[in-house]
Amino acid sequence: MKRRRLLWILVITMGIVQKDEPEIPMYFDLPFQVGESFSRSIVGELMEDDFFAPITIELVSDKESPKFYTSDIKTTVCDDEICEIMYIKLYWDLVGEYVGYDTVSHHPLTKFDHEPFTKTDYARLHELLQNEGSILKFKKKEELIDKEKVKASDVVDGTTGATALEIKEEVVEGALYSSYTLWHLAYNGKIKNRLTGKTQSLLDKKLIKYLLNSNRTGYKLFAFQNFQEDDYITYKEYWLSSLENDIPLTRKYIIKNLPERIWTTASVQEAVCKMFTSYDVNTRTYLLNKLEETVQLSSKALEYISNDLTQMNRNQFRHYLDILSKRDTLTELTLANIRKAADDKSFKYAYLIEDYEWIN
Amino acid sequence: MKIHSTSRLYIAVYLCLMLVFNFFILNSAVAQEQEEKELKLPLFNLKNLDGIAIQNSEIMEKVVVIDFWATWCAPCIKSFPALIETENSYKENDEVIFLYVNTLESANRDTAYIRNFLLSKGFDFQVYMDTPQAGISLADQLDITTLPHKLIVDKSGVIRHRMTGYSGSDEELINDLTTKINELLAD
Repeated sequence: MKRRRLLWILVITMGIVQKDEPEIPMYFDLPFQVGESFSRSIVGELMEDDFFAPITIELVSDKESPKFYTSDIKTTVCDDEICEIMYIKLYWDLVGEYVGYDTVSHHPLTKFDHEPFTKTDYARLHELLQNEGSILKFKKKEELIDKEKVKASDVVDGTTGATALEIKEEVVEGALYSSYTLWHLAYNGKIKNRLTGKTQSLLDKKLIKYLLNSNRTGYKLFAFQNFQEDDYITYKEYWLSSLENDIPLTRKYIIKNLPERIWTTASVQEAVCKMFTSYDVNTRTYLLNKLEETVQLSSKALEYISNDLTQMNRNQFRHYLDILSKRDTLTELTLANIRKAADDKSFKYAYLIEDYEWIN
Repeated sequence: MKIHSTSRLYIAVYLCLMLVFNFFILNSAVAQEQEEKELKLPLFNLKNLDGIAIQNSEIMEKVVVIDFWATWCAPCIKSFPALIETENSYKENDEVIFLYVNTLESANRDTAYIRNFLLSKGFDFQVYMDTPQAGISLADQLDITTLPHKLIVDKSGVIRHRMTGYSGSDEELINDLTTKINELLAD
């Protein structure tokens, strides 16, 4: 008994026993931990002219649904004087948005002076990789260095030139080319297409519901983009909720793509128009355009919009009045609201109503 | 029978000491091995684009400049003219050899690509391919992770100089190489 105990002490002290730890990436933005029960499957291998080595993409799933994509990437990074091979593990969500990264065992990230990344550098890298709209998107590699401003004291990139001023805020100090290379991998269009293609091929009712219930804006938009006509009926509450609460891009997509069969239903028109005041300015314009094109229009839907006319800008208000002009019947409340707006001294576009005789 | 707390302390101290001791022994052994590995050029068998091989035996008693490069490495390509110029200055000297070793190459670039690539850039030197043998390439054995990477090996096969990167100055590279080669020729 004593011997066994001693043996265990020895074994544990020597670190021979290694427990399988769950994967904990250095940075990972999805709201769950990668557990041991997760399974992995290879989605495919990508090899392009500008890739150093084929990129194998894995899909990680749990029992419920697919969760995210990942890939161990081996790529080259060069500055004017030297090149090296960089190893990194990237993570994307189900719609191909970057969600995190990790270093690969024995290959920490280094700067061009061969100094390893500090904790701050790693955090900064994640921060800059999260920025899909980074200026790096529009820059060619040769534009990263301002060759006119070569300063011996400039240590920002550790290369022969000075980092172009506009780039400085978008890269890890001393790792200009690594930052650039990694950003372009995280947002590589071909990788993203492969990932979204795979997710598309997996779409079933369960996955659509998972995407719609997620808090990720991209997931909801992706679900809507892949809706079949009947899905607008099945998931009516979801798209109506997104219309009220989501980003303008998603709202615009829904309004633009509502199938004719669904949109011509009075109850749908009314539900959409009822939320008019909660829409952003562009969504309102899109909705007014849609209303104008609609032949069978619910009077009640138009009435909902009339409830807060002062929220409209000049063009929208005129547009709305034009739409009303073409209608044979309007509700009493709609007319009352317009008359009220005409008398409202604080409403700066009230004068437009004078052009519409039918109101008076 | 229970183990007394004093005995437990002794065991713990003993184990810690053992760990520290082993750590140092292991580290010094690794360091020594690494030092030896770094000094001597490992056994190699590199084939050129036509499949003709070169081995250690063929460079014995010579000063050898080995240039490790890849087609994706722009500084490597930029340094070629200076290397060729230095090589030409030793054309009459049988004791000096230049080996251009293609290594860490992109997965989709084969020998045909490399041949065309060099021709398109106007280079016609002999290139040797660092094809991994049993999964290990010469660059792996030499811990080469950055390019361009040059080794200067003396007549006894010992690596005497490692040069990484290319500053962009041909003159600097030619002078540096020439000084080092001459130094080894004089040995």
